Amino acid sequence: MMTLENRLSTSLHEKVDSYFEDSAGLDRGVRVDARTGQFTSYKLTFSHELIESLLLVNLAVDFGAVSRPNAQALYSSVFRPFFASLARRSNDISQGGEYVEPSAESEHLLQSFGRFTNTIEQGIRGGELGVEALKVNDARGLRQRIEKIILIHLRMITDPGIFVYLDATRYWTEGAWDHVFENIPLPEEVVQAAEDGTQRSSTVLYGFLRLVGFQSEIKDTLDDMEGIQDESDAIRFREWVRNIFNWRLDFRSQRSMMRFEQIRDLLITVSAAELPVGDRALVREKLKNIFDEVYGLNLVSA
Amino acid sequence: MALVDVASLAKVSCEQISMNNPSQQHFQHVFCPLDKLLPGSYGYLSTSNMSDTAIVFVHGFDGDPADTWTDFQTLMDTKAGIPPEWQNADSFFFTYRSTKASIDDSLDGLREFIDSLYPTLSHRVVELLPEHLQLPATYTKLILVGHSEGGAVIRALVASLGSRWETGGVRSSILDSRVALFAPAHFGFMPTSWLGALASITGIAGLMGIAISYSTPASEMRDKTALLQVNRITEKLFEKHPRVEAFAAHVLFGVDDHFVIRQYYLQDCRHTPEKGRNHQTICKPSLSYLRPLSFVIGDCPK
Repeated sequence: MMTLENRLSTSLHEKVDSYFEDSAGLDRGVRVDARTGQFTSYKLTFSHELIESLLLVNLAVDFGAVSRPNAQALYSSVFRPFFASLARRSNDISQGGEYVEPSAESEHLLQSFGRFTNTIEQGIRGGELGVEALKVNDARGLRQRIEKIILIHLRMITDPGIFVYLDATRYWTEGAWDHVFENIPLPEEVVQAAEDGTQRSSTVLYGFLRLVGFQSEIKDTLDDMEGIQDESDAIRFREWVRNIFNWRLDFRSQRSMMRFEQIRDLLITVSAAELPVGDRALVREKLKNIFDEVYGLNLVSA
Repeated sequence: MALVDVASLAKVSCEQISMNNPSQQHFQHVFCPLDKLLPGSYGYLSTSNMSDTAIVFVHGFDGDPADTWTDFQTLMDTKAGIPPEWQNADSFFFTYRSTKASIDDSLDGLREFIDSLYPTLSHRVVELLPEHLQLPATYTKLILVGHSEGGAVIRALVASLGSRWETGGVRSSILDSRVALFAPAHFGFMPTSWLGALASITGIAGLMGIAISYSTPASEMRDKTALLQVNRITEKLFEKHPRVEAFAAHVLFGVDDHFVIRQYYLQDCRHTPEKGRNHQTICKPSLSYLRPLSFVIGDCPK
């Protein structure tokens, strides 16, 4: 029987291994498009996922879902090596021997996780990783929620379709992005793109839908606070978790938002087109409402 | 007719392999028809008097115990790299009207079949076995193995037994079983419409509702609603009872499976999908593809 801590450990080690394998083999460090000034490297998607993992591990420790010794083991074997590599790249970019100012890459990550700058800055400096804690009155009542959220998180970070979608909306060049719309796949091709990490239209569409599904599950978990006596616990917990996941649809980035809307609208259009003309307008509206309701999660605290 | 062929195939295979390894003591399995218990069902019981594990196999849509599981029956007596636990395991092959009966009807039949075998063989079963066979006193381990729709039937059975327990009923020992699923149809079969794809990939109830109301293949979506319900119930049960083994299944898909939706419950142990295998061949072991034998009886991948 695999416990939550075993699952975390297995998945995070796989993730960080992929992160390092990629940098060693292909030298795909973080790059910036000289013309647009936009980041173009998928290395950053890995970085976001790992920081999300760290923040959830810290939360799980607060609620007793992960023991402190196990969290320390993850800090040592997963997160410290990751931050060390980030700091090395920061130094390279800032051309300094010591970490002084956040590089553009670190700055980008700090912006994505604005609520958790202390943790990220400490990580880059090689300091304590569990510095920001959510204090609540009834940790026991919320433990099941964080356990479920961690399971959802692990599914998300191990789903190659979601990775491709996130990377596409945040970091693909305009040319690469335009290819997504050149040949619209069949619905069964999108379903078959499960566990396919190749950069194709069907994978991007699959990743979008899978992510919407998981974000909907997170929303349901956060909305259902039955049994939690302390209302302020529920509110703070909800906000904390939303802030951890907000980077997945970055409302501050025009590119990320615009690309999200393009995919959403494409799926609504092709779905409605299957129906009799008289039904189309209503179904379009219903579909848009469902997608937007899921991402209301992000709108609240953006 | 097919059953006779299977038995003789197994015998030939065992003899051939025993000749290659004459020095090791090796228990074989004896073919035992169980038609009087359930027409079309049968078992392969170990000649070891130390059998401690009962394995129940459940075929998929339009399948039968021989077609689907022949290769297991042939290979379980080989010594060529299969886990030694197979020697002390008795296998039972369940059958049901997969093309006509509802999942509800099928799960009742499966429960009755298992109850007649586990943890001890019922008098009805013992009467059907060869007299010379040394019978196990009691099994300490149960493994449920499903392919395709068989996986959905097993999951529905587990959800039903878990719900009964949760509402004050008896706790079935089936809940302590290991559940190993090959290409399970627990999220249904491949949709052919965009609305079907949206609903299937996201699992959002609102999208499922739209697909049922407007999509042409509505019957396909009704099945999906029932499957989604089983998923929700099982995930809720797992949240409350994370140590109950049957709530988290081991799941193995083929990379080339284009028949079912390739997704997992949150708590499932995801085994790396097998390259070069499709929906049918994923559960067909051979001397060059022994993974199904270790998948059934092994653990989560580390």
